[in-house]
Amino acid sequence: MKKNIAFLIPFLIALLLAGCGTQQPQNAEEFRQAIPGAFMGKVETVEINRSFRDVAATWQKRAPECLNVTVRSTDTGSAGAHTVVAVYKPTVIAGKERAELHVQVDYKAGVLNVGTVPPGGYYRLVADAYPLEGSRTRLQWYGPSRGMDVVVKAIKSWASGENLGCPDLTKQ
Amino acid sequence: MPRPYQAVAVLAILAGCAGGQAYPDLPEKNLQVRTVASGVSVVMGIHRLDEKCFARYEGTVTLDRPTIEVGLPTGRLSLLVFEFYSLSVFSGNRSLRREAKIAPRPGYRYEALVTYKDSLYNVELREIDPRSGAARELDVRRGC
Repeated sequence: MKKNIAFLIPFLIALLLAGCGTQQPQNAEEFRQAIPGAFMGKVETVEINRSFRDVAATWQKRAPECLNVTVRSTDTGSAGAHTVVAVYKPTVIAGKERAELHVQVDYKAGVLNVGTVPPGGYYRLVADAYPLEGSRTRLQWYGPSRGMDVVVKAIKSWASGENLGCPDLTKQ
Repeated sequence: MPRPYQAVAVLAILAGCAGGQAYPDLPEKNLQVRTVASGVSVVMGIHRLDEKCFARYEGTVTLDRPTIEVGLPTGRLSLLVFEFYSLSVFSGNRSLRREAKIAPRPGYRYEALVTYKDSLYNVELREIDPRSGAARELDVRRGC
């Protein structure tokens, strides 16, 4: 069933990033370096027709409002109920040349933690914004090719200013 | 596959049963709720917040029309709990909630804009000064 597979995705990503015994990325830079070579890892770069300053300001406003959440998902199947509790933690670091948005997830229940869990939880997504000429911004994000689609959509929408809504994390 | 009880549960919540009694509305409408939602159903629970930030449930309004007028008591804190429900063939029923605290002032009007589109949701709350017509965005976080 689709839902049962969806429940396994966080665990699978953690396992794949861990490289069967290798250390989990402990910070955003390690995550950036690990993702391109990871199975189901994805790096995408897009250009946004909005100023870097506006992009950074929107991330600083929306990320704490929308991503400081706890998601409890329960699947009731023939084998009984399985509950996953995921605590999301966003971090925004805005500098002159780069704005960073990190999304960490700390699984409190229902997922077997693999390797050393960094403070705040596993890194799940890192997005960087860089200023371009003409009030444009280059957006680059690192993360899994699936399983964080709604968060990616939100981060891109915040950057473009198209939709400032919060991601429905029950859809992850 | 959605199970029959899941569909019944969602319908029951939306109908205002299952612990969701209809809100005993006040005749003077001071809150206008505008809802733009696709793929989900939305309800708004109204709670009284006491000085210790304890929420006492008062009732639910089903946001099944684009615009709904609600009468909230003034001079006290209320907690508005917006819940978005969806029933999927593959993932069963899901819900998420967004809370907004509000302390309506006599004579002021309030507007809530509730949106859900492409898996992104938002709740915005504004206070409108009756004299100047100026609108002020309210912080929707509970923050007690």
